[in-house]
Amino acid sequence: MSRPLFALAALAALVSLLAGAPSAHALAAGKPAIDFTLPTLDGKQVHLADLRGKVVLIDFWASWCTPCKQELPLLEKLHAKLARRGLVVLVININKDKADAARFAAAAKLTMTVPLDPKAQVVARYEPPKMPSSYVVDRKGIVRKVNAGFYGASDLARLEADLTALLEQK
Amino acid sequence: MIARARVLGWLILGGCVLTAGCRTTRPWQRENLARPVMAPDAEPDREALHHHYLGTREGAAGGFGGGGGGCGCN
Repeated sequence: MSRPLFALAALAALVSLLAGAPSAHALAAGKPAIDFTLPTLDGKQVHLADLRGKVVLIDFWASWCTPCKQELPLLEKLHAKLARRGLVVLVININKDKADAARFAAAAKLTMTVPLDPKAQVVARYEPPKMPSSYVVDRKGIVRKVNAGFYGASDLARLEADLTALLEQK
Repeated sequence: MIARARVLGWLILGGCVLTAGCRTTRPWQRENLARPVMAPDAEPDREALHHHYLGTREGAAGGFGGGGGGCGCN
């Protein structure tokens, strides 16, 4: 193989390797939560920056994601328990069709705010590592924890402990 | 020999250029993959019958690979 051709082949191999690599831009703990404005299922708008000063839990879900559907009823219970202490829960739906989100939200009797991100504009900026993934955001708007995936009720127990600790901080 | 190496080089280069267009499907992009029709055993009864038929005919079982498709959420 001639030297320029070898160099070109090596460069192309590197590019093809990097193309499949996971992004290094995913939002991680310690970084400021990325601001967004999204319409909600009940026809309102939610702007993350307006929630500064409150502890916020952001969760990404879809009706086609089985663990998401297992997690949401438990999140609803957590929301009912901690909302009066100031917790705000935003469960961002990423279905392309709003009707799919509405159907599940009605069946699960969700009272949490359900922002809609059908074009994946916000989720693509957060880059959650799994579905579902949730982000614990403190009163200063900093992501304190990223919870990837849902594996059972013990995940929610840990999440509750994290949120309770943050809610106690003034 | 040199001609063969050159052909090999072009093949590697071509392969790499083609695979550079490949992307990992991200967790939030799996809506279509998660549709029931994308599951390899979308019709489990029919699959079971087919495997039974093959097992009877061939006197062997298995060899149909592992899972695939689905939302791959966790």
